[in-house]
Amino acid sequence: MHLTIVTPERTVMASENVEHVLLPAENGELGILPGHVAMACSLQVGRIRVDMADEFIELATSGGFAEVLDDRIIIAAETAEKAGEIDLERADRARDRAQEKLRGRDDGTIDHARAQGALRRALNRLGVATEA
Amino acid sequence: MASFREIKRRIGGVKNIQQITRAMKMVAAARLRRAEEAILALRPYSSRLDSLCARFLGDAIGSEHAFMNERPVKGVAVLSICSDRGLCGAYNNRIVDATQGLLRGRADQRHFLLFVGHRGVSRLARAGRHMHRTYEDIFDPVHFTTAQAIRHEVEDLFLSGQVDEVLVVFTEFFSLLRQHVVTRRLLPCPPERHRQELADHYGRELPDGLHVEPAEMDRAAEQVYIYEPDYETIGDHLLEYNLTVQIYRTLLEAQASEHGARMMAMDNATQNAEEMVEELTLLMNRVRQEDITREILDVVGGAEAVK
Repeated sequence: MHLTIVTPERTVMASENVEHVLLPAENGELGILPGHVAMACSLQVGRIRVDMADEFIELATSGGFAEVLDDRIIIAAETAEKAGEIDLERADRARDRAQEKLRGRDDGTIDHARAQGALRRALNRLGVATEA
Repeated sequence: MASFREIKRRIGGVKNIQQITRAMKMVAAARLRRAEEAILALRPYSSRLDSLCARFLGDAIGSEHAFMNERPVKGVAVLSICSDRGLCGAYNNRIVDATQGLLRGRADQRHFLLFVGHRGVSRLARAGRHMHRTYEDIFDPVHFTTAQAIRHEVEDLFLSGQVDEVLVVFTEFFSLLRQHVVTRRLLPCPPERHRQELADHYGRELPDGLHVEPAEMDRAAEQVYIYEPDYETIGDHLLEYNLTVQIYRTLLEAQASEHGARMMAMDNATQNAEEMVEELTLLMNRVRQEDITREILDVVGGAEAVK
């Protein structure tokens, strides 16, 4: 299968010999194997796992879209970083900031929801970076 | 008239300034190149997003989505994009003037000003405009998260009903010599506009083969897709992302324009300095000649007197 991952800031990867991809879809992980039907899918914060003939790559993403058509997978993600590309200090700071904001009671405001989102992204990055 | 020595010192001073302006021009050129690369880097992503938008939003989502809600305009949010640093010619003044003109033309509406760039912020603050939000130090490089923060802000204003229209004023970058201040509407965004933008987009070349071929579009159109989790969720997300990407794109365009404007301004300054050095050199030579003539006359006069 052919896999392309693009973000607003760069083209993260473009690879021909992909055998299996796991995507963080809204309702759980979604595996793509050759011969998959045409699909459009919205992604949430999580990990993209890519199995290639000679390599395994894991990326942290903070959401986006994936499209599958004729064994071509295109992921348009907000961010997609491999373990080595993650700025640990920045993720650490983001986590602390979000936790600080969440210390108060859930007042149902948009700020609260956003802080939760920020926390999920930070923890996801830290998870991918430290497990590698 | 100034003395020979004074003129010589001034020439030295002008040459020093010229060295600085020349260096600033080089720096601006390097940054401009990077800014242009950032615009190019966005294209594969935005073209993918646009092709998805075309398929999903074109007809089906229709006008129910909150982002497409057209209503009488009682409040307007204006996002103006200036630079943090000066020495870039009329770049900031044009944006400030365009913003002021826009607000004067809408005197009967509520205003919410969102301003990017220290230069514009300080000028408008002096003019007594109230700033709803300001963003400083966001350039070189522009991060996508900045665009997200701005999107959240305008989205809140629009969805809460405080404003009924969101406009952006920025400098569109065509080339070093061609940059225009333009005003675009971010919200509400009618579906027809997505198609128009898509059409504009496909007119351009993409750098790395990620260009969406019309044949591929046709192939995609005849396919039956499955949607995960469902059609509506994807549509909602697409609209949100699309808005963020639009804001991101305007920031990148503005950034390239700023460096372009600075490059031109510094180039002019360097040339002016060159002319000034020439003029001063002429003047210096004339003064020196006069000095010499006077000294000769003194000597000759002295010799005459001794006879």
